[in-house]
Amino acid sequence: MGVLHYDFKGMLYDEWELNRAYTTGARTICEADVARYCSLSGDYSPLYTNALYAENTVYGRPIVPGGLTFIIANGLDCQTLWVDGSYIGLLDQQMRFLRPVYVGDTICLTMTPTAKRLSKKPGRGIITYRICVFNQRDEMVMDGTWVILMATDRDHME
Amino acid sequence: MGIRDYEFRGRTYDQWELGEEYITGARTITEADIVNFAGLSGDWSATHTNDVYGKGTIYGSRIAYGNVTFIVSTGLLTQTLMFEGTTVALLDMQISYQEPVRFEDTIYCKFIPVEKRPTKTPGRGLVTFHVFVYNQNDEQVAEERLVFLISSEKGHM
Repeated sequence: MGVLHYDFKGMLYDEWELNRAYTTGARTICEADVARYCSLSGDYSPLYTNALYAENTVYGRPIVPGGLTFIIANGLDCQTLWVDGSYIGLLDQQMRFLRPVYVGDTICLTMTPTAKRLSKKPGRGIITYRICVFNQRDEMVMDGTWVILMATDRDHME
Repeated sequence: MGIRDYEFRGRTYDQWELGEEYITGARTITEADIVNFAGLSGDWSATHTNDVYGKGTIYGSRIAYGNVTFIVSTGLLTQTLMFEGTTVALLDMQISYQEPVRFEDTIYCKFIPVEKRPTKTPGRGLVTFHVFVYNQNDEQVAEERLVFLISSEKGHM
C-alpha cells in the first residue's frame, strides 16, 4: 500500500495494434475553457476574445483557439488511460486545422498507430499515430501526426 | 472616439519579409502553469503531476508539458502584437521537442518568416514561420513550423 504501489493502466509498446483506430471519449468546449486558455497561454487574439471584431471576420463570431482544441485532444487521449504510465515522452506533433471550432462544439479523436519502431535504448519504442479530431457532426476539424516514446515493459513504467 | 477606432498593430501579409529574425519576450514556466494546464486540458499524466513518479523517470523530476511550451510560445508570439488583427487563422503546426522544460525555466522564441504564398481568395496569403524555442541557457528546447493565413489589410472592427 502506498503512493508507489499504483498499477499503471497504460498500454505498452507491443499492445498498440498497427492501423487500428482507437476512439476517445468526447468533451464539449465551453466559454470558460477559452477564457482559461487565454489566461494560461497569454494569447488574447481578438479572434477569440473580441465579439465585435469577430463579427467581421470570415467566421462571423469568435472561434476557439486551435491550441485549445489541440490540448483538449491531448487530455482526451490521457483520460482513456491508454498511455497511463507507459508514455515516456512526446517527440513530435503536427496538426492541420481544417475547420473552425466554436464554443459549444463537442470534440473527440481517433488515434491510429501507423508506424512502430524500437529505440536504441532498451525498454522504449517509438509509435507514430495518425490523429483525427472530429466535432459533433463528425466533421474532421484537425488532422495530424503525433510521435510518442512508449515503454516496452512494466519495469520501465516506474 | 470609440471602440471602433482602435488601430490593430498586426503586420499585413505584404509587410512580412522573408528571412528576417524576430525575438519575443520571455516567460518563466512555473508550477502554477503546469497545474493550470492539467486542469484545462484534462491531461493529468504522472510525468507532470506526480512528484514521486517524476523523480523515477529518465528526467529525474517532474517536467513541464510539451504542450505548455507550445501554447506559451504562441502567447509570446501574440504578445509581440505583430499578428494582432491581421491573422485570420492558424492552418498548420508542427512541433518537435529537443529538451525537457523544467519548472522555473524561462523560455523565449526566435521566429523567422520562411515562406509566403498568396491564396486563391484575394486579400490574404499564407506565411510559414520557423520558430525556435530556447531556455535561459540558450539551449533549444523545441522547434516549430507554423502556417498562418494573414490578411493583406490592417485589422479593423
